[in-house]
Amino acid sequence: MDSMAEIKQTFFQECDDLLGELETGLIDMEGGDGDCETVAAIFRAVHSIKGGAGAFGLDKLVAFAHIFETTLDEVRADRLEATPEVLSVLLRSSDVLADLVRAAQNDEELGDDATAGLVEELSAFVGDKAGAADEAPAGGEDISFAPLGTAIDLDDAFGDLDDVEENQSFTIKFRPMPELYANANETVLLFRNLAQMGDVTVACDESQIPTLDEIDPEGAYLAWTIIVHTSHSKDELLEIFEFVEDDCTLEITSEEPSDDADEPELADDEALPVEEESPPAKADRAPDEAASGDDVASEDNVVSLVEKKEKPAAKEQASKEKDTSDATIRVNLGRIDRLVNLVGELVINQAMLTQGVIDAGLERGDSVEAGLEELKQLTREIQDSVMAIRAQPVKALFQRMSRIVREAARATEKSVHLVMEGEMTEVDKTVVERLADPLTHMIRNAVDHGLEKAETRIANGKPAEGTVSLTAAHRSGRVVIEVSDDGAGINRERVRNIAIEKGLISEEDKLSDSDIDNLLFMPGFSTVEKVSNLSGRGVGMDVVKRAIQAVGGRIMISSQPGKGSTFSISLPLTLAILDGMVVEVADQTLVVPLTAIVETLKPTPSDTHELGAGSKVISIRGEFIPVIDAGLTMGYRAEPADPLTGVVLSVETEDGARAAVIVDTIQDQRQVVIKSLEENYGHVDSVAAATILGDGRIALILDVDAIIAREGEALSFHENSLAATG
Amino acid sequence: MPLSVLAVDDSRTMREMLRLALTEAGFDVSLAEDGEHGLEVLAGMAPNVIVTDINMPKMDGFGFIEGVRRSAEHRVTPILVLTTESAPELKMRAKNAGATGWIVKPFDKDKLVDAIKRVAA
Amino acid sequence: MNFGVLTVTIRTNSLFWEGKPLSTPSSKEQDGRVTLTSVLDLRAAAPLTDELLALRGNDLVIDASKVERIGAPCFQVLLSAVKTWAVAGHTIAIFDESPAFSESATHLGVCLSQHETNENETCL
Repeated sequence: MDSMAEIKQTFFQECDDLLGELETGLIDMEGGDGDCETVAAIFRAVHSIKGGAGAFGLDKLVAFAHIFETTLDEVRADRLEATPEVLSVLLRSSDVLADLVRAAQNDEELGDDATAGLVEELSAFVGDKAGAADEAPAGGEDISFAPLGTAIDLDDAFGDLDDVEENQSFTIKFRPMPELYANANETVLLFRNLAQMGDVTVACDESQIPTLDEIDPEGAYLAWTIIVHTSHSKDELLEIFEFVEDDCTLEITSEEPSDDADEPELADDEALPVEEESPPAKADRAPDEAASGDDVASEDNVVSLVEKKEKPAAKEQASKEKDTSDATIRVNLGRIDRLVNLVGELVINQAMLTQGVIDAGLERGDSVEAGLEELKQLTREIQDSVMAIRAQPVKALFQRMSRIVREAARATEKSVHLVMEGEMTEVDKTVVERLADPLTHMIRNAVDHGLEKAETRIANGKPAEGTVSLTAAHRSGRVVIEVSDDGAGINRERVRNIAIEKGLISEEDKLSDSDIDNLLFMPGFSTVEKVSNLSGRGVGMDVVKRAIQAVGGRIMISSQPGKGSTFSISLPLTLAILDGMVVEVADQTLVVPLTAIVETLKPTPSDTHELGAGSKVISIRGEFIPVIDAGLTMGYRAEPADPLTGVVLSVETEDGARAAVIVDTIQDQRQVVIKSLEENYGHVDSVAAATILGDGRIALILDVDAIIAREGEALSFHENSLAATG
Repeated sequence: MPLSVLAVDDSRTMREMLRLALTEAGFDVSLAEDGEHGLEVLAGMAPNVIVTDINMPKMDGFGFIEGVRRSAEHRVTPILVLTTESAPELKMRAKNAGATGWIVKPFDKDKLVDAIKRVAA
Repeated sequence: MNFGVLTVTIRTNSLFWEGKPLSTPSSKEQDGRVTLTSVLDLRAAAPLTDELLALRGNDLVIDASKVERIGAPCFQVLLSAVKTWAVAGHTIAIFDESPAFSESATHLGVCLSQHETNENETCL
């Protein structure tokens, strides 16, 4: 990838951040929390997007950002009041701006109709200012610069006689003011540049120089008359004085191309004071140097290291976390992953060292023991810190959801207020990324199905505007994200009927409220009779559940009729460490992911049933569950174990299939560092990964999904199908 | 000795563009993210030329330029303002703060490099 | 570096020849001597003024061999010194100009080194 393409990628990453700031700012303003700094920040965000887009020749983006920015400038200058109507247009503009950024990133063209309406609305706020704003200064002409000094004709430089006829003579009268020097301009440099334009005759007027006791050392006393014999135009000469034109008196007059340069007396009417020149302006764009940015990866392969500075207490606001003072550096994700791996090794090594010290039988109170304890402490801290590097606040994710709510609200013609809390809660980067789709779906559901229509709400004594809240918080080593609505709650009667209709349950089944709620997660369940264009799309909550489970999470639902529903997602902080149950099977140690385990139990003889052909089922609270003998499956032993002497782990796969895994004993429940086997061994069936225990032994982590799938027919076992056969 | 240039811009994209353009031109490039950061960086270096954005958080370009001009060590360092704002009153404000010159974005690499060479003592 | 053909003229209204010719040998014994520092930018103008002021009353020689950079403000101070010395009837001479010093002087069209030779001169 060339440098420009890399920078273009940086630009899109920055756009993501800026769009986030923009939206947060607008939402703050909508909530009445915006101060002038908020307005300045959102203006800057759009301004920066425009600036970068201009550099890459993304004209559509520039054009829209420009009118957007102009409107924001009006708000910033208090010429336009940020009424709810204005804010609504601004928020929609931020959505469109995001679309334009996305389109530019994917090298797509967004139709004009996507922006035309908003451009009109924005223009209505600012009148005709948009056209006359900074990109097109007074006059609006496209005056382009010729690069200076880069294209000096050698003939000119040497004053070749052949060229003299084409040359023109200019007389320059130049008198600096002290400000010229104070602003770090320098006559010597101006004249050096001038000398590169042609033959120069310099006459210095020293008459104004005072004596030493009267001189202001930083004053301006010298003045010059310069005759330039050059093939360059007057404009090009003026350009040399571009930066100092307000800090000097300057006259440039052209003369007859005679050599009568010794008497540079000029008629006044010939003099052209520089003040009359319109300042050179530039409206042309940089060439699109990265137009072929085909390999601009959409995947953000970089995480930010966020180093929070202490904020002054006075500025601290209880509910708002402003992260403007965060200093960040960008680090390649690969480097961090390597660090995570190394720390994993360290954790294992430290555990092994501890075991070794115990085995060596050192006395209590030995200094080795004390040192080891410290090492353990440090290792734990390093581990936490490294995991924190991969952690990202869910803020960006939440911000995307606010757009989803706006769109869903518009599509369903409902008025919805989104409340967000705990945006700064941090979760592993990969987890954050994989949450986007399920969360989008849940938010759409909440607006579409959760909230009632305004009329219904009013009839039930609720405010017409519905509330959807999205919260994140740390709870006992996990992150809990909740999506709740204050709608009607789950209509359990209807859910039950649909489940019966679809053959998911039978009429006779007695289900608790929470059992009914959980029916929503069953594959093939969809509560909407006619699929709306919003949350239907053939995707049910079962897909959401599977996506959550894929990142080691769990999802739960709770609902109160008339009050609303809450979906809670509980997630591990990281994917590199797993909560596992350490079990023993035929003298081998295995780890079963805790997320898969529903419960553990000691079966009684009456619970187990033979199904013939060696397959068994176990009845757990009326539900028949196929038995999987871990020892047999893993090939640790040839003879089936007796379920009655072992322990049964009731496990559930991502798609809801359940099984009872028989193991010999349960040893422990602990966090283990996940070591992938695939790199060295390729994929091993039934094994998800491995870990190294404190005593140095390797333990395999069971792939619960795979072993259930391997049982084949076990997948089709479900209560009702089983009920049909038995 | 290559010319050393300090570029101050709050946009990561612009900083990267500046780094690329100026490094290619053979300058020694230092970067800062806003005016405040720029003054911090200046405490430890003496660039030949400073290039700064105007619209920045914490301390904008005007404040930064004034800060540089107040410092005994850097008050004669040329400062080029790099900005999309070509409005005359903004240019005037920058000049009054002490700017040496200006370049209007979207910048053209050659023009920027040329302007730096023009003002570098 | 190409500067084209430079014809540098010192205007006849230069004031530093008023009074006695500077070439008059000084009878004084304690000639002052100043070595200019390497960077003579705007910041150097005030210290240079003070340094020169302190040497008034004697003939003065100024060593310009160390100058790497000099701008118009310091030339103003040097020209002012020349005027001041001339008014007081002392001699002042700049010698051993570094290339940077000469180049800047040429660009600005000021000539400080050949004062002792002739009046109303043109120096190249």
